Amino acid sequence: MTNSDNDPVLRRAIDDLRRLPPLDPEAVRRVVSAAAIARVSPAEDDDMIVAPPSRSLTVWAVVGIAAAAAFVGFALRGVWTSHASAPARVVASAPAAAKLRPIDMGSDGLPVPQQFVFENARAHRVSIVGDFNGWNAAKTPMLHTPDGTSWSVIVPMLPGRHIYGFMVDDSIFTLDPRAQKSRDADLGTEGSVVIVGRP
Amino acid sequence: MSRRRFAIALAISVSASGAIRAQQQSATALVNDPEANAQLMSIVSSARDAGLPIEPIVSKVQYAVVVAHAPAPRIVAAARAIAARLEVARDALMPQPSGLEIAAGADALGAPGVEPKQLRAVRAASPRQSVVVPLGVLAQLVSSGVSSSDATQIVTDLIKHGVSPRQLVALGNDVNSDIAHGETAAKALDIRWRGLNAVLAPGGGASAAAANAPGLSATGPKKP
Repeated sequence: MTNSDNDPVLRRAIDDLRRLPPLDPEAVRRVVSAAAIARVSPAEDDDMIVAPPSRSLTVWAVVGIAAAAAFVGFALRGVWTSHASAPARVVASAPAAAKLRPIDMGSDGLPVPQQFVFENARAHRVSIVGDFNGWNAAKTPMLHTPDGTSWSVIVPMLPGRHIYGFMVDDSIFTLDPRAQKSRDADLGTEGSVVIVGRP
Repeated sequence: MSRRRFAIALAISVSASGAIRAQQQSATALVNDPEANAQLMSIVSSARDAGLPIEPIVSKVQYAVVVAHAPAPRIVAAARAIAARLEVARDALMPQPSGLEIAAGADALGAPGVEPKQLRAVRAASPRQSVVVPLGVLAQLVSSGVSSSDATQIVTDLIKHGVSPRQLVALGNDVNSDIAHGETAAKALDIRWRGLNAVLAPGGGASAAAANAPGLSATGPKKP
């Protein structure tokens, strides 16, 4: 029994791959042909390090072929879908695409803790709502400060500009008097603004 | 890639489509109008098929229902408008904008006077780095009354001179704070720019950049 048989994570990965949509045999044939053409002949010295294939390697080979075939399947499906239903899009030509370099997103995907404080001694419940929590008052309740005059919460937020407000007693939307404001371009209502920088 | 990481990545990719569908349904379920619901589903689906991030559309619907209490036709119009801005932002931020950048671009396009050319200028100033924060600062400066051309000029100049996102945010916050305390937008921007200029590396092009910025100077605000 090999490691791959005992490893539950690997077993799950293999099971997941097996559940992928049916493959296009023609696409698989093209991938295999392309791989055969691109294959570099082994050097003579390689004979010295050739070992009988282990079962673990076989499993990984199956996983690799399945993943490659699935990728081709998804790619072809995407091409067909875009032709069938998507609006006209500019598709970069191969040379242009080759020149593209990924943009360094740095820590844009990492949340940065932001503290919010709201003074209101008479409220029974206060939550913060915004584009970062689906404007859902149940998601981010604020805590009463010990002196009973204010409410506070620390929210992990992605870098960028966010619109928010406070929901008082589950029904009254209130702007943050300490924050900048912005008028919604489509609905005309105001929201408070926080701009979060990257850490 | 280790086996564990491979499995996690696989699990995420498998569950992502389900999560997006759930998000889409939860947003449209808020609207108690079958016809509007169908239209919203169509808008979100089209955006997703076009490779646009759908979170801003979903968020707009949630905001319209929970905060703005907007009627169904207005919600649909708002969703359609943000979807259109996402597409414009994606095109303006080519060649390879991230979902967060497209969302930030669409948000900036909602500010009065911000056009695709301003987004292109920011992208040109930062072709290899994320423009999420610069676009956020640009949007808020314009929302606070700074002209879109001045705001774009100052943001792009600061990017070119290597100012960090944190410094950019601080500049935006300071300008907006000054405006909130009664300062004019142009004067607030000028004062805060000169303050930042003073702490930037000597010999850098910051002064020249400030001198080139419309309505701004490295030595003091221009008289109107």
